[in-house]
Amino acid sequence: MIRQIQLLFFLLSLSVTSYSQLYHESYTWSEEPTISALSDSLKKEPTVSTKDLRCVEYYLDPQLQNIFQLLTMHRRIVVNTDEGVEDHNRVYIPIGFNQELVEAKARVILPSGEIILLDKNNIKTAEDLNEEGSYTFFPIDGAIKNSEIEYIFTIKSFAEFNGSIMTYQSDNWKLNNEFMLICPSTTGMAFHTIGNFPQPTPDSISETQIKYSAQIDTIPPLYSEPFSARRANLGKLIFKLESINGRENVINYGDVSENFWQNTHKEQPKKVLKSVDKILNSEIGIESISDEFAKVRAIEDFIKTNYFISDQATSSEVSDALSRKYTSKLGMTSIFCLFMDQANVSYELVATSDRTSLKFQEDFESHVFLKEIFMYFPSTSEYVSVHDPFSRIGLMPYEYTNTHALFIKGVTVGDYSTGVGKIKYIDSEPASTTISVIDLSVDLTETLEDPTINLTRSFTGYTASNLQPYYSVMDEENKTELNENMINLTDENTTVVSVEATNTDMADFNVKPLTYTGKIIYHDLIFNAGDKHLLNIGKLIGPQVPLYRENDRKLPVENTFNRTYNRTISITLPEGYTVKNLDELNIDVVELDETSIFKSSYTLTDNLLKVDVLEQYSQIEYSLDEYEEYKKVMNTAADFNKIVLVLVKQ
Amino acid sequence: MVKLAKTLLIKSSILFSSLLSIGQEPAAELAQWSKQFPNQKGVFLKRVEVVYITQQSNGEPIISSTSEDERIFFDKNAKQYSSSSVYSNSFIQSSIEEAYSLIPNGNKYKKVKVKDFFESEDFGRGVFFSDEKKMSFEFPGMTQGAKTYIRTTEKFVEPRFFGRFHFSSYLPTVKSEYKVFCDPDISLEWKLFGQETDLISFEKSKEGKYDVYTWTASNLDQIEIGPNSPSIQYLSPHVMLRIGSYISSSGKKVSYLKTPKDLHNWYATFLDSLNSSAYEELIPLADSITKDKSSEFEKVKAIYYWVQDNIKYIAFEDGYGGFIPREAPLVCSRKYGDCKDMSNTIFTLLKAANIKGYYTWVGSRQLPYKYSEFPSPGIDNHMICTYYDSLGTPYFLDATGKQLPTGLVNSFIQSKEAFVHIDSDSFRIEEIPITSYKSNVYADTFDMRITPELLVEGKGKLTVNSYFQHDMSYAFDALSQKELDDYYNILFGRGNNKSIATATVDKSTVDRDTPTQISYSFTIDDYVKSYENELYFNPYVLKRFLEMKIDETEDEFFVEREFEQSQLYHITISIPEGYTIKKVPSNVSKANDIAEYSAKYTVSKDKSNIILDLSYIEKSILIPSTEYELYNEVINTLKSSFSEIIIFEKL
Repeated sequence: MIRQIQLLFFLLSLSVTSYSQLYHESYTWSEEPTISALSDSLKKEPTVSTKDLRCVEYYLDPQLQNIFQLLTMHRRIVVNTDEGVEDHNRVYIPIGFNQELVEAKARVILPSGEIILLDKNNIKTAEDLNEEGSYTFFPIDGAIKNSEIEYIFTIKSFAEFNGSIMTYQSDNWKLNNEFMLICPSTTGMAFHTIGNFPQPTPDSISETQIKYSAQIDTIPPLYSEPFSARRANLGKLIFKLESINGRENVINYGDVSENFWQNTHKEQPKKVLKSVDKILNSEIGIESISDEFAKVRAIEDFIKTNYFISDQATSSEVSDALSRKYTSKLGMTSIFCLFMDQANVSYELVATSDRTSLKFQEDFESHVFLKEIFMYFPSTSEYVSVHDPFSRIGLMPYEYTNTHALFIKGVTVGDYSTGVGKIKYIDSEPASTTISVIDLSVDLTETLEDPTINLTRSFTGYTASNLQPYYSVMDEENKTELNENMINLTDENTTVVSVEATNTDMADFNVKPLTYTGKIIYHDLIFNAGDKHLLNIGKLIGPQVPLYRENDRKLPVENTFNRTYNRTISITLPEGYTVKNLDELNIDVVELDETSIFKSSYTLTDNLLKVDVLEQYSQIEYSLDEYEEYKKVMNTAADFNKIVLVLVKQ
Repeated sequence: MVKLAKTLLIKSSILFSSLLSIGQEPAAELAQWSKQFPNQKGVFLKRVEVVYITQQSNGEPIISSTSEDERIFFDKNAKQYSSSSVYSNSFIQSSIEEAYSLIPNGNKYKKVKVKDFFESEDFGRGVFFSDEKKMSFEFPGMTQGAKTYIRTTEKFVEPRFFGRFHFSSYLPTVKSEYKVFCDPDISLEWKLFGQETDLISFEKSKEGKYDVYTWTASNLDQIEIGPNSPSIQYLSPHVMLRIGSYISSSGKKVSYLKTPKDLHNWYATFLDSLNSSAYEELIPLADSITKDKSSEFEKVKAIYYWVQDNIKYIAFEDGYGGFIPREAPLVCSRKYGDCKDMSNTIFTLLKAANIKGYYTWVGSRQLPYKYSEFPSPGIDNHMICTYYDSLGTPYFLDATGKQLPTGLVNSFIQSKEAFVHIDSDSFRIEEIPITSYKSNVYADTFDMRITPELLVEGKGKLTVNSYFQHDMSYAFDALSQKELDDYYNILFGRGNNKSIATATVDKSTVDRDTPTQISYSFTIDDYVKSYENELYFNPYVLKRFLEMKIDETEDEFFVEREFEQSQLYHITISIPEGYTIKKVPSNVSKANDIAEYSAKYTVSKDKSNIILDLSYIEKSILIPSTEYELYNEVINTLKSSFSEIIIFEKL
């Protein structure tokens, strides 16, 4: 990695001129500003962004002989309510490692037209604010309702060529949005846009410089919607260096693969190798495990139980990690690689992005997509998450499935080992991986008043992954509370009589279903209606997520994971009663090529009523056009909650 | 002023102890402790703080302390306890003297020192700027049976901020000890707070020339803060100390923090430096705010509301700057400030209008202390302004609460003592009243009719005052149109989740001095059940009470409520055309000193409507465990009534 960047700097320094005037030096705000006019509907919004200009400029500092980039940001925000004022009368500018604030100015334009400038004495800095990094920040003096807050700042940093993201869309209305990038004419930049953000176009501004720019007048707010990936869909722009002096594709996954492999496969001192071998043999007992899946699982269990990633780790060396028990993310990857190498397990390294916040683009090679590291084991086609201590082989964290990824494979030529990259697809897990079961029975022959429900619930796959791995870190009281919550089928008027959880060890995760067995009383199960009784059977499948009010859908459907719900309800009816509206239990809604299903049916044998309910979703994404069909299935499940059987005494 | 409490709380967040028990083998020690404390993740073997109080040459106290703690972990996932941190600020300077892990290594422990320390700035929630620093580090090599040890020293740059020790912590504690070596010319005042303080033993002795005060406690449970618990200060057994007086170098006895008067004398010095003619600059502003107001009370209200509306809360905690208000003209031009800046702005604007206001210190309900019992800066964290009307009735003006009418205080200072600065030499202690449930009312009146298609259509009017109104005015201001629509659906959606509600509010008519009214309408689909010639309808379409039962296993000592309240519903259900009433649920009621519930049915004279009057009342803001049963009786009555239904029969 380092070699590559040095080369880039060298090439660029030949081509980047030190400009006599930088863009940000001449850029300023209007001398006589007035408050931006808003339409009547926008006047009702707490906050409206009336300008968002960002300019990135590369330049060579002749004294430091290094290439820097300047990011200038110019924002204007009209605040229409007290909350709007309170949200924006403090400006925080994050200053990253090796960054420097070149300039910051701010002012507020009052409804009266009066202008109050930022008092520079009010500017505060914090080296590491609440462990979120360094900030420069200041309050905006004089801001009141219906005023407009305006600020411009410029941050200088080492040039970032590998990829940068500029997100413009938010949950506020945004007007007058503009992006600019100024770079030497000997370089070419590549852009990728998401949402409705336009593609920047180049325009030569001098013999030595090109300016890329893009404007968009209005960006509507994008709110979160159920079953969607809002963050990934926010209008944004990604850019990177593409060419220098005619040399194309300068940021590429070939170099990344080589560098990353070498950084995670440093030659280890004999002492370290010996201690790893000792752990493998005496603590993990690797020799006695023949199955490769089990081998990996045992190594993963050991590493994740004994070592953790800390932001405060100053060393990524395996030797330090072995004694301190904590290390950096890179150090953790190196530990995994070393243990697998010593155990003769072959693997590939995998890097990709969280699809719920940034979708991996297979045709745009950039470091921004290489955020999370996994290991792939070709012999079992399974993955291990290197960073997540609560994940285990057999279940890839869902954010990193249904996506492309960079797979890096080790190759050895003579004494030289390195990595070779290839983009491949990581499938989502099928609906059969994640099964939630409700199996309950209730006997009404003895009493119709608060009968006890015998209940078993079990979970596998992703629904188990939210629970099963955490038992090991919970105290007894939290475990009891969780168990009671899990057996408590509805969120309504219930009493938990007893509950027992099984398969709660970390060792059971991805192996055995997490199971709760117990008894509850649902006080609203039966309503007395004179000589009849109303049985709230629909509530027994647990609360469903309705999409009743989701009419003006903006985002396509993106599920977290595919899933199956199997429910079996057995009710022994009291002697001498019949149920009049059993037909309501026959439901068959199958949509979207059978990828979204809700089915319910019943049998009545003597006085035993048995209802089987199957609900299944086996596709992650649906287009906006398909939303209505998806919604229909979801709402069918929610409608089931409202089924009430009428028990009539004969 | 939030600083004060936080400064002293630092003591409780650093976890202390002393000499390590050496000699036992790691495996034996792990076995011994995990047997003694089953089902625990680990324990504090020791938490010890030793304090030295000596005198400067002029006799004033100098205080420093050393704190140690030692923990052992039984948990296989001991690594989750690796992270640790120590806080420091300009009043209490903490430094880490030694920190290491003892890692089981065969029949011995291996000692590994902490090497990397990271300093960050820790402003805490809602604070814009603070001088608080946090030193973070990881204990290395954490495994099952590992121990951690840390020793810190604290220097109390301002001796008045000294004096709090919590005996228990988030893990059980085998032994805690707080030992104070005090120069005999200095007198100490102390008091125990929290629950189960009978577990703490106290001894006073003499060592050399020092008076030695020692508090010890053994085998304490960990502190559990339940979902409805008041703050840790109510629960955790702790001792509070202050220096009452000292003998000065001239041999004179100097009262330091002996009485509320001493505290007042010190607090008054923070106000002395304020420009006493600052008000002159604000006369034009005060005039413009009060120009239409005739009575003094109307003027007070106008000024109070102006500060609420125009000055935004931004908290600063910066040394003594955390105690001295900023000048009012500056605050008025900046349009922001913290609580003391706002108090000073009200005070100064009142003065500019020739009205007397009084600076007032107060502790939030998180701090269960009284000035009259324990006068120390550790017992408050807030500042307001007090106005006395012509009858001498105090009005507590707290501009940090937006849209608060005069006479209502922020709910978090109800029941607390107000420390009112009358002048440099005098003060008063007033009790801030609790707003009664009779004055904090959520009154909802609505009609429902069932259409031939069995859809329920309803419309109603909600009237709220006091805290309910205050909460709602926040929503009107803060929420975008889309968020408001969602909010109305939560508030006015009825019966089941298929209900759709709409409401309209003319925001311009919302006024903090008159109750807010909202008209709304709603529908509920799939709610009415029909069978043959009968319709079944559950009139309890409100879902808001069901989670209210107190769970004594979660909140062991107290349940705290934000306010007392009355929720009153007047519900009219039209009898569907062509139907008659077959069954109406029975009336129920349950009332006691803690809460009250009743549901009463009447049928209108013309037999066209059933009217349900439903009321739910909470009469206490702090319910002790001895009263849980009374509360739950009311909730149980309420829950049981909810499963009763109305039956209509076809004519």
